[in-house]
Formats: sequence, structure tokens, C-alpha cells
Amino acid sequence: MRFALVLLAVGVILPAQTRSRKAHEHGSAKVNIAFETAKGAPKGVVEFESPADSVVGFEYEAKTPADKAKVTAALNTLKARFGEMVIFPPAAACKLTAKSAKMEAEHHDGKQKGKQEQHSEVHAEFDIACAKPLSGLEIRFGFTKVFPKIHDVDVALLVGEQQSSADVENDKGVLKIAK
Amino acid sequence: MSDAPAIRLTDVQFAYCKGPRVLNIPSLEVVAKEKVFLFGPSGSGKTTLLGVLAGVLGGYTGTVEVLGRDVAKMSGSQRDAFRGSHLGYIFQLFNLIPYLSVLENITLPCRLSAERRARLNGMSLEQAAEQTAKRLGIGELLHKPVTNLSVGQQQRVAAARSLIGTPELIIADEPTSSLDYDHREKFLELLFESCQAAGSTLLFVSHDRSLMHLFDRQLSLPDINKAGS
Amino acid sequence: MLLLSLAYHSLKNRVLTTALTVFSIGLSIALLIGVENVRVGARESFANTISQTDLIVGARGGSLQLLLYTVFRIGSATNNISFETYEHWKNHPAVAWTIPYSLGDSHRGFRVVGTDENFYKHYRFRRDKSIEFASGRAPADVFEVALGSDVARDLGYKTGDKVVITHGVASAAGRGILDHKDKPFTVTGVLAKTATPVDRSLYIPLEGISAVHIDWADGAPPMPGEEVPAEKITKQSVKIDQITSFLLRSKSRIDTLRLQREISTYTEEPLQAIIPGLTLQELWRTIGYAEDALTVVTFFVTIVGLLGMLVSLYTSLNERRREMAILRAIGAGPAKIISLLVLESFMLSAAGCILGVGLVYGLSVTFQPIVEQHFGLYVPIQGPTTTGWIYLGAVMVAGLIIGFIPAWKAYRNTLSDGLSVRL
Repeated sequence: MRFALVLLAVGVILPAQTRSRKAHEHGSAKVNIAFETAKGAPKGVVEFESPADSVVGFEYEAKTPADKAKVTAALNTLKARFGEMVIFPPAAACKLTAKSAKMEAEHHDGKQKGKQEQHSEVHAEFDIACAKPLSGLEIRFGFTKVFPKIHDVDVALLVGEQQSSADVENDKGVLKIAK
Repeated sequence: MSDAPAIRLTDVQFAYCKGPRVLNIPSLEVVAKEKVFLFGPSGSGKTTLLGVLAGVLGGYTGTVEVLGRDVAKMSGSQRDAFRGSHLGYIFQLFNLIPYLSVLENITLPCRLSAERRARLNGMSLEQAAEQTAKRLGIGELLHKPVTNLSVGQQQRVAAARSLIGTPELIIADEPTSSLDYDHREKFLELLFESCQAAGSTLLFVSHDRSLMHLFDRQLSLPDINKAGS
Repeated sequence: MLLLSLAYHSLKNRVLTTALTVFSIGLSIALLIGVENVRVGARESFANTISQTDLIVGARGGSLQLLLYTVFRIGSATNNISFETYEHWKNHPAVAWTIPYSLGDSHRGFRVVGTDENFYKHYRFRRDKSIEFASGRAPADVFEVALGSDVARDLGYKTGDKVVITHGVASAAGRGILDHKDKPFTVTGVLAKTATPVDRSLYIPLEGISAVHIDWADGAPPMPGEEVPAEKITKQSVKIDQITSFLLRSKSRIDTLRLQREISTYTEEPLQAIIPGLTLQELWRTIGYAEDALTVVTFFVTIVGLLGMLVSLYTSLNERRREMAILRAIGAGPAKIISLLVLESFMLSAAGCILGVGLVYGLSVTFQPIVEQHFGLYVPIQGPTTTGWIYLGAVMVAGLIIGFIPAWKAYRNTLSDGLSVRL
């Protein structure tokens, strides 16, 4: 493994630099799922993060009533239909509760002015409570059905001692919860 | 089945894929338990006739009845099964499967065909093989590999294989041509005895007429087969 | 049964070609399964290098870099984090425990890790294995050191020996002027083997790292005569200024996400926190291409093995025309002829599979300790994995299908030959 790792150390530096591309790339999103345990009746949180463009359709600050209505409608859709985007195993009978969903201008983006340069993101947080254990079950995805622009999602899953991730492209990919 | 002729051909015509006619036999009959010597030069259609009789060659016109059964009316697998249980076949040379012992070669037909095996009259495979082999004078060779045998011994093993389970019809395709004269007579004698004991009909094909006087009946294939004329 | 015995005897009759064919299939199977086992073993031991750690925290930089220097002791950090920052997170209400690492020194090519008692108490690998001592005890005082098992083995050290650590990360040959030779460490214990990078480091208290640098100024050793003598240094008198990174366990997995975000937006100092399992997976995906390439190569080897079988069966057919005619004469139909050859091909590939699995077992039993010792790679001695079984099944099915090629040829032969074969 030492030998493999030396190779890695060399080979990994390049991709390491490009990995942060997900920071604000249109069409991409990030989902974090955390459960304390997969056993019993698991409770957890789900976080969602995406460029506003994919969810709302624009990233400038909504000022007109029409734009504001669009933002509200999009966030409501996100809250209401999140269960179709991140599909928890039906066998576990999980219930999602939206805690928050908001659109925010990207703060650490320097002081560039002008609408072209402005980036905004959508952040949402959900509580999840399942009636049955998640052990051995699978989480599937359906982002494009709700927001067709979201086609590349980094999903991270923490369940007990399990730490896994999936790169979900066009809804293809599953996350298996360990037994 | 015993009243029916062992072989009856009526108006049989055969050609290989639109080639010239090879067989044209208006009539041929071999009575049950008869020992018939069929002779003819090479190219007179011997091999073809045997193929038709054994049910390996199809596509002829006319009727071929073997042991009272119309060969053309049987399906391919029925023909195979029929051949396996009612016919014994001896080749000119290389009769034996090289990787089996003498005993295994002799018992092969009975292991392939349950019907043939059922005709052993309650004997075990080994007993039947031993009996047949003893009659042919090769009783002591049973457990040898076939590759150690002389040609004459090989032909006797082949005869034993064709005779085991007393099939009604034995077809021998020039089985003696590779033997010298003394061995030929001896081989024929043993074959006759065994056919007698089994009650089998023998159709013996050869171009060597020096043996023909030993048979019940002699047939000249060029006379029967009108294809050449 | 007859066909089985015929196929068996026929294969036995051609013992040399049969043996060679089985051997070549066996070798390719062994390669296929072996590579798969090594792959799974490597991935497992890779993923099991560190367990029960929710976050690894270090100065902001590349996440893989942080993982590599903290867990695998490869490369080094560009920045340290202050001890105050460490203590802030250590005492955070959502944090269960932390293990600090102070890196940067070495001893004859092995890294020296400054840490504290939490390392011996909380560090986990291979799911739930903790650090154990093969001999001795954990270092308690400033100038005490515990050795990873590879270090003790390679250098032949034992409890009570004195060890001088080197400033910076030098290779075994590169020791010299920057040795901290005025402050030697005493070996108090040797860790039990873990088959992880833990085996390849020396462990001293955090205070030890500070102590050897106590009289240094601006990264340079003290002038002769200005050294602070070791005997004047006590654990209480040493102040720890900074560490390199730390492992963190949160009280709840749900807190992990929040902690990660809090740490990476910490305003006092630029920090980053990575979830080791996720970064390991990322790392593994990066080398996944090499893995796939290897698998493709072994697949081709297997195909070559099967083609060899096809060639040997096919070329044997001409000499077997006679045999087929005999079988036809005693009543074997075309289906039997085809079955016989397909059966032979299947038996060859099945024998090859059995030989291959046997080889894999034999080789893993023989070489497992060597591989583990030299590469730190623990390949479990096991039969084929699920994927391995799929490969085996695929090879047998392929053997069966390939068998139809000579079988079809033999069938055509019997049709044209009938009962007469002129040789």
C-alpha cells in the first residue's frame, strides 16, 4: 500500500485542486445526509445546497413582485417535493420535515458589482424521522424530475460509523446503508 | 418381427445433393437370420446403401424397411435409437474408441441404449461382454487398453460390440479386408457362430469374393443397383 | 452418465493438451480472482485505515493533502494551527474527543508524531480496533517515545533504548546536523501491529515536540552552549504553541455536518475539516482507473485462456472424426455428439476454475504474511468475492458457449461423414 500511496500522492494533487469545482457550478448541487444510527427508528438531518439558478431560474436579487413570487414558489416546491429528489427507502417509512429553505447571495465572492457577476445559492435543511431501521436499505434520487437543471449532485451520507458518498449524475446512483 | 424380412428395399433411389443417382434399387430383400454376402467394386454404392440401411442417410425415394420398420417414417432421434438397439455395425478399420478399454468398447452400445441393455437377458453388462468376448476368442483381453491390440483382435472386439445385446441385424462393412487370409476365415467362423447364437441376420459387404462361398446367399450390388447402368 | 464418462476418458486420453488447457484457464482464473481479492483487500484496508473519526481538522488547504499527511503520513502540512484554536474545538460542546497530531520531525526515515493520551485511548482502525501495546506502555513523560511495530522491527529497537529524533522529514540516510541529539527519547513501549500507517511512526507526547525545539529560534538550532539541557525540561514547563492537525469525534453524527461547517467558517484561523471516509472514497475513486485497467487486462488474459481451450478442442476434432462415426453407429444422435463436446469444454473450464480458486487460496496462504509485512496490505484469505463468483460463473458459461463451436463443427462432420470416415 505504501507503493500505491506514493502513486496516489503524485496522482492526487491535480484532481485535488479541481475538486472544489462544486462550489458554484450551475447544474450541480450538494446533499448531506446524517443519521445518528441506522437502527431502531433513525432520526437525522438532510442538507441541500445548490446554485439558485437551478432551483429558482435566476441568481440576481429578487426585487419585483413577480421575481419574489418566483423565489417563493421555487422554495415551496423544494420544500414540498424534496422527498422525490432524495428518495429514502419506502421500507423505512421516513418522514421529511422542512426546517428552512432560503436563497442567499454568495457572500465570500468578493465585492464584484454588476448583475452578471452575482451568484446566489439556495440552502435548505430538513429533519428526517424514520419509523423503521435503515440498515441494508438504499437511498435513490430523482432531482431532475423536480428541478430539471440539477443533474450532477454530490451526496454525502453519514450513518453511524458509515461515511460514504455518491456522485449522482442525472439521478443515476444509489447510496447503500450498511447492515 | 421375426416373420418380416430383415431388410426390404422397394424402388429406392438416392442421389447426393442433386448429383448423379448413386442408388437405384428396384428390389432387395434379406430374410431374417440369413447370412448374406454383398459384393461389388468400389463406387458401386456400397457405402451409400449401408448409410441408408443404418438410417444415417435420408432423402431417398421409395421405401426402406429394416426389421419391418419403415426407416423414412421414423424421426431422426427414433432412427438413432433404433440403430442403437437393433443394429450392430462393424467397420473396415479403426472400430474402437481409443481411450476406452476393450470391455468399455464392447459394452458401449448397451450403455447408450437402455433398450439394448434390456436385451441382455438378465446378465450384467460385464457378464454379457465376457460371454460375447469368449465366444470370439478374446475373453482374456477385456481389461486391456485397445491401443495394445493387433488389427485382428481389434476387429473381434468390434464384432463383440456389434453382437452384444443380440441385435437383429449385423452390418459388416469389409471387416476382414485388413486381415490376412487365415485370420479372415477364422474371424468369419467366429462371427457366424455368434450370429447363430444370437439369431441375428448378417449383411456382409466386401469386394473380396474369396469368402463368398461361406455365406447362405451372395448378392452382386452392380446387379441390384441399376444406377450405374 | 455415459457422456460424462466418455468426456472424462477422452480428456484423460489427451492428457497433455488437457493439462495445459486446464492450467492456462486455471492461471487466468487465479489472476482474475486474485486481482479481485487484492482489489477488495486494498480497498478494505484502505477504508479501514481510520475508523470512528468524524472529522480531520487542519489548516486550510487541499483536503486530500490533509488526509494524506494526517492519516498516511505522506507529504506535509504547509501550515500549522494554533494550540488555542485546538483547545477551542476540543472543548466545543458537540465534541466527544479529539486527538492532536504534531508532525514534522522524523527518525531514520520514520515520522515522529507528537500526540497525547487520547491517541492511545480513542484511536480506532478496522472498525473498532484500538491501539494496543506489544510491549511496554504509553509514553508519559516529555522524553519518552512509543514505537510503531514496523519501526521497532526494522530498526531493532526495544524498550529502554534511546532514540534521537531529527528535525524535518529526512530519509534514513539524511541524518546529520539537524538531529536533536542533545535531547534523546527513551523507548517505553512498542505498539502491536495494526497493518496501517500507524505501524510506521514513532509517538511522543506533544510536549516532546515542543521540548526539542524549545531552544530553537526562527527554525534554526541553538548556538553551541545555548542549548537548554533536557534534564531541566519538565512536562509542566513546556508550552505547546501549535499542532499540525487533529482528529475529532462528535457526540452525534448529526452534529458532524454542523461542526464541519462551523470549523471551515471559523474566523480566528483558516481551518478545514474533512470527513475521512468521504475523502478516502474520493482518493479511491482517483485510483479507480488503474484498478479498472488491471481488471480489463485480467479479463483479456481469461479470454486468451478460453481461446486456448477452443483451439485445443477444435484441432482435436479431425483426429476424432472416426470416434464420432463410431458413436453414431452405435446409436448416438447429433444431440449426443454436440453434448459430448460441450461437456468436454465445460469440464475443462470447470477444472480450470477449480484449479484457479485453489491457486488463489494457495498463493494467498503463502504470500499473505509477506504482502502484509512489505506493503501493509492485508489481503484476507477468502474464497471468491461476490464479484469473483460472478467471474467464475461467467467463465464457466463462456466455456459452455465456446464448446458449441467445436460441437457444431463435429456435428457438421458427422452429417457429411455418416458412418464412413475415410482416413
